Amino acid sequence: MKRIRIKEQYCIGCRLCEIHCIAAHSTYKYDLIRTFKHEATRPKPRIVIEEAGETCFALPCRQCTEAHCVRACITGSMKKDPQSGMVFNDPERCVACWTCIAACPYGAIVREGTHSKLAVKCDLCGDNPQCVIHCPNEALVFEDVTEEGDMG
Amino acid sequence: MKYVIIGNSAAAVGAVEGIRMRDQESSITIIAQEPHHTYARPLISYLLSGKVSKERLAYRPDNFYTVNKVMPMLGIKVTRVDSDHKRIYLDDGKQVDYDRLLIATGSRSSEVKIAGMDLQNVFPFYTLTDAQLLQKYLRPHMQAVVLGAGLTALKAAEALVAKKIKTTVVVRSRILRTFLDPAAADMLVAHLRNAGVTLAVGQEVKEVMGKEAAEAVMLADGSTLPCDFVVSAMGIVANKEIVSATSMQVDHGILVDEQLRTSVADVFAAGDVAQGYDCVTGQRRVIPILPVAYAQGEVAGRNMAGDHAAYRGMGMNAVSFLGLPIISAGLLHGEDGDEIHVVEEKASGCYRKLVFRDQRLRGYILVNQVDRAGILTWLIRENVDVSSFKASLIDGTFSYAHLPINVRQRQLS
Repeated sequence: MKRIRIKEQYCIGCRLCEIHCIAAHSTYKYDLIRTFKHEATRPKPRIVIEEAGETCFALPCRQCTEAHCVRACITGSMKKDPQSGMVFNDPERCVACWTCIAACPYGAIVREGTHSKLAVKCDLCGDNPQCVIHCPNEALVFEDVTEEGDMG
Repeated sequence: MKYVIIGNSAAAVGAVEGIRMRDQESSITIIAQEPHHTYARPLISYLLSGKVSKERLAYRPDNFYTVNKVMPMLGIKVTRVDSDHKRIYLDDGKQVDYDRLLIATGSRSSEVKIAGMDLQNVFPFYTLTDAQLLQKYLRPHMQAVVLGAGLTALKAAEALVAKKIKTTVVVRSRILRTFLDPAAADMLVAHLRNAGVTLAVGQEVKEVMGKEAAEAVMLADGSTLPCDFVVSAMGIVANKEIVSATSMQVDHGILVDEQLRTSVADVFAAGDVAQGYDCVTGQRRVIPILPVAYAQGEVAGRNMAGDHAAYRGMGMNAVSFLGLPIISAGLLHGEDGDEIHVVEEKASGCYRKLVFRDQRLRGYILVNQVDRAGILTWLIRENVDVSSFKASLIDGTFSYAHLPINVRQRQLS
């Protein structure tokens, strides 16, 4: 399975990862101009640049092996795919209680929708993460990892 | 190996998934009093309001028992556990033997000793069946009185208001005492009132009045609240009676160690019935919330299958009332010597309280602005030394980049 790895030493905080993440999750898929000019409710980025002084790096969902969000979810809508290892939220079953937000140690789950009615997170763009593809510095890389104690 | 689980809610599901991490083959039997497929209990208020259908109440998919090779025995009550002979007795006269047993019987509504609580339209609100009975009874423009001040009571009130029922909640002292401090509670009270819920705060119920059906609720000050029905949600108690014939150590709940083992060999307990360790206080207490129930169940399951995993829970609540999100965790009040920081922004309706002790974050309350709260939960759970970045937590600018490099690298590797 593949994961996004953070290469802190290469990040310059340009925020292109955030911008391409927003476009990837808009109705104008991947189209930056239309997304930013025409999308009525612009999606929130599922990845954020963390900054303090000289330090900056992009932080997406870690797709944890033992995911706090999955364990905490009160509906069973937050799940970990046994094959891919990706953690995903079923929009049909989420009731927007935000228990996953209280549980995620990385702050990687965001409230979305016109009235914040859904918990959303990194979906790896169908194994084609736009944040990684558009990072000019290779400060994010998408690579194979083996999960310890993996069930897949 | 024969695993038996008494209960069929979050802790039981966690145990099944925990057992199956290590043991794919041995038989698992689930015995539960409620007749339903495992469902997400906190969602019964959403069922009542119509926001969620019965099908979507399922906590795990329909094939959960099949996929995990579980034999469900539902609608059957366990009358007692005989731990000497590793046997449990059922109300249909049958017996079941076990090698490893998990008690995950949860909790139930407390019995309330007030005159009139036995009238036919006084509804408990704790199970799916309770919610279905109440759902059938509802007609638009009825008047309801809800007794209780916890999450269950307030979520019931939220659902009733959504169904156009004129609803009054009678609160003895303060709403959500285990979850909010007085300032945050006041903000929620104001929000609920704006949204059309009537709250009678600081009121004691004297009597539910009526001959066969409740017609009004009389308060201690002599005033009456006319109503078409009453919802009773005044606290919960652990379903621990089935072990009363054993030597098992019991307090408010069944006492368990960090591995969720009871004082009796091969018997584990998890969820609302268990009194396990709190990672913030180091004391044992019942933490009756779903995330703790699931996590305790999972750890119990792993250990039933031969592991030695440990878990300490934490009080943590996230909830959204009529559009107002609130999250809190850990210590909410603080004691002498604690460092407490409160930011209240009246204009935006945001409230943020942080409780520090010995350069560690020990608790927080967030109202309205709840994003990334889990980072705070993590700081509490992992007992992270915050001295180098405490200022950023207090002024709200904190990010992962503020963490000391060794902590950050360990966490992100």
